[in-house]
Amino acid sequence: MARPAWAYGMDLVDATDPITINIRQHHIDDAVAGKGDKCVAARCIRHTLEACSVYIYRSKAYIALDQTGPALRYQLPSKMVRDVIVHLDNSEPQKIVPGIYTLMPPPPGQRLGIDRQPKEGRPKRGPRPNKSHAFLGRVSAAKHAVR
Amino acid sequence: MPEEEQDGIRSSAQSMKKMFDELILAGFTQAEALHLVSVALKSLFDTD
Repeated sequence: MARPAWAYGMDLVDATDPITINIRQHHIDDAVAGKGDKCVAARCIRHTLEACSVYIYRSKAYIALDQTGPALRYQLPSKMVRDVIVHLDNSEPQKIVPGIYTLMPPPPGQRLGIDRQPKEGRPKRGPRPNKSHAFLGRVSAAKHAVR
Repeated sequence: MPEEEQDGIRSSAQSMKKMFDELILAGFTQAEALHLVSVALKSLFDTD
């Protein structure tokens, strides 16, 4: 599980309540592309929540309100990824859309500690048999049968 | 109530409904989604 360097040695938990942030032009002006702790969303969250440490990945935000933690893990809204994160990463800050965005707790399937391994007894995923060849083989056999 | 105000309320309600539907699609239960939407709505008023 990737986590920001400052979050090592700190408890990491999934958030339970959403937070709403208001991204304004000055957050965009001060942002640094490619830096998860200095991007638009990180600056806005740090300012809004007066957080000690913030780090933004492509789909998750890690927020520590103080030095002792815990670090809270949030899901970024797809609208924010599309309208803010992607534009900053593409060095197009003029396209970033200021506005109100809500960060939600991670959905049940993406929570920490969830077992993502396939369960016993289930067939493991592997390369699928090439159905087109099997189909062509049947066509070929049918042609021979007609002759 | 003025028509513009009604439009504003309708638009906000639609946004909340959309948020609720997205949470259900993401795998939250109805109770969880309802709680999250209500907290999000409250925090919206706290946002400066």
